[in-house]
Amino acid sequence: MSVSLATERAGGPPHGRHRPGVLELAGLRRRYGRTVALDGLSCTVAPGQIFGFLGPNGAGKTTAMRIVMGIELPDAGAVRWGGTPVTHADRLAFGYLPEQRGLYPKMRVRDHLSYLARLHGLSAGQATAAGEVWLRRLGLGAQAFERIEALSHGNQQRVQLAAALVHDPQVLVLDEPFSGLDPLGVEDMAGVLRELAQAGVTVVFSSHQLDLVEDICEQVAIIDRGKVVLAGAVRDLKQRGSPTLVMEVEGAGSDWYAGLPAAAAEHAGPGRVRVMFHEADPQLVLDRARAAGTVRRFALEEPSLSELFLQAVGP
Amino acid sequence: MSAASAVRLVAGREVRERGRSKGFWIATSLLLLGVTAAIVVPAVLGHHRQQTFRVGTVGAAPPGLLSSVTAEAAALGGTARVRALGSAAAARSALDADALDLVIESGTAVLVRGPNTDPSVATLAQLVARDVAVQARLRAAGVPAGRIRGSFAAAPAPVRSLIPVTPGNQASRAIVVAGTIILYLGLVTYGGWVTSGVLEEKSSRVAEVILAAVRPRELLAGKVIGIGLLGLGQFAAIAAAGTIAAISVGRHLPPSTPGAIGLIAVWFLLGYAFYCCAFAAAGAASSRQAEAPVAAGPLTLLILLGYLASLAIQSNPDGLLAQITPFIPPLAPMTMPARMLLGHPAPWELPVSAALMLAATYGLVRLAGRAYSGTILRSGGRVALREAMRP
Repeated sequence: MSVSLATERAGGPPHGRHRPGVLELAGLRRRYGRTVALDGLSCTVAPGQIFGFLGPNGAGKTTAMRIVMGIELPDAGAVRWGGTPVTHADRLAFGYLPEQRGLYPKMRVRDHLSYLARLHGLSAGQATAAGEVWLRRLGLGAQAFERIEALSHGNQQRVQLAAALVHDPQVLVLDEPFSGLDPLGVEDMAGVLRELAQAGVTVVFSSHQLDLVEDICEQVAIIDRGKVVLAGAVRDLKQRGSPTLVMEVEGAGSDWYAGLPAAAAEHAGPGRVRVMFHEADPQLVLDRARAAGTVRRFALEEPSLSELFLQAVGP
Repeated sequence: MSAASAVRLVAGREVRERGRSKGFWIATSLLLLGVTAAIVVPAVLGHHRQQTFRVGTVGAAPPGLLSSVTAEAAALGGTARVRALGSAAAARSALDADALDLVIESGTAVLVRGPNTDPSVATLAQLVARDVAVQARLRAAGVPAGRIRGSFAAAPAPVRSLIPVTPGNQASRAIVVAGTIILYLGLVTYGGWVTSGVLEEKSSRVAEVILAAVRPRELLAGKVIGIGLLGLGQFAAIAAAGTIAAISVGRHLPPSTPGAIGLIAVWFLLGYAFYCCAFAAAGAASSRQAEAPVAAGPLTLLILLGYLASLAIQSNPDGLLAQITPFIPPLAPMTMPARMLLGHPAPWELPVSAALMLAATYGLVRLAGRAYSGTILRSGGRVALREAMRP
């Protein structure tokens, strides 16, 4: 799915508001019976940013995204865009990829896309043109007149993404866009999101695979049990967290690091052992390693997002 | 985008997509074919064929008896063909061989084949037997044969109907009978479409994509309006086909026909408006196709009750049911047309019945709309009604 967004825009944006606005989730609360899905969740997304909404399954990501899209109402709190509460008309400028994908199985691909575009306010002519543009971009030109149910799973996913993009949204809300994609699919999807963000679209997506997406998003909010536990630019978060010292030594006995505060050790090739240290004096470790064998690798690595998450929620 | 244009778009999709499906056109063609055949076939086969009663006599028939047989047969809408047979045995074997319908033996007894006799033959036998008995008594009392014949030839007393029986109200009865069947089939069919259409949106999960752009009540309104328009179109096509077929086979259509069709169409709309949102709520409360008929069961049962009440009203259009059921909104769409077209309703009955219907529709649409919004995005098992209504 190679997509070039800089070219070929289908008509002008149809929606009322044309302002790059900050998207703000303020103190969202939602409970279902006794289950608390959102417990005062707050975060802010700058326009044109790729924002990762990360956390384990059941953390409240889908509920928060549904509230942003107006599909569910919060018990308390508000969603603001450009400083004012989001209205139904504003949301026509939002694009949405729900976690549970779905389209009308019997509808033809082209008709389906132009129908969705029209629901978001495009005229009949604009809608048809936009549908065709997106079909071509996603390499589905030959399938334009097929029914959705006749498409392969991968092509259905493409149409689903086109359905979120066909009306040229200013805010894109994607719930688990990477789930079920192979590594190439992940790369394609990441490329699409980057291009959209470059074109000024605010991209908010959720994922439970923290390490898969840490290179894709600029800003993240990591949530757990309905609350943000960690938020900020990915680079800042990583620099703020304590780095891991990684050491690979060849020809040493497996007990060379005895007495040092090692976090984990693993076999890393013939006669080679890799050892990770969280809190150890690098000089001391290096001295001990050189005395024991040949040092093949000596590096300070930034923590991954999942390590940061585990540190934040704590034992 | 305004709510009205959202509703228009949703309704437009409904009409386009269903109008494209083969099933819709097959069902419509079958309906049109059925209605046309129901009118044309009886006319071609001649449904007013007269019955000929084959009567045999044995021995001497008293004077006047044969003319009374002819008169009684005519009263039953048929003719009598009388022939004399030589012996009782010959008459019995002719009766046995189905060459005769009844035998008058020596003017004293009447014989038919068996207990499963054609009802009109049995009636004729009864009448003839009575005549035979009365004539025998008159003869025994010494009344001259001429006077007996004369008294039996007397013209029958004219029977007048309180409700004038004209070709006009015969035709409107046919319209009510056919119209009620179409109303019943229409409400159940289009209601089923609404249920399965809503369920399709829910189970394919497309509802979440759509509801990100339109409000639940707009999606609901568009869906039921789209299906309602298709239903009305089908109804109009059936009415047109029926009218053309009736005219082309030379049926007399009373001037009241367009009014009667219009009245049925209006009650179709009222009934559809009343039931459609409840059918949608039944679809939204289900999560699998197999559950939908169960959830919609109470609704189809109510419509069936209305149809049965309408059948009763068709045979007794001023009876108790005819006076009560038009004021029970779930039954009114089926019963009020029969009451209006066949009975003698007071002038206030139509407006009151329609007003009650509209008030009930408003209430039910609000309730069902809320149940629909509360359940359309909830998956996993049927949703209990009480839970669906929770805000």
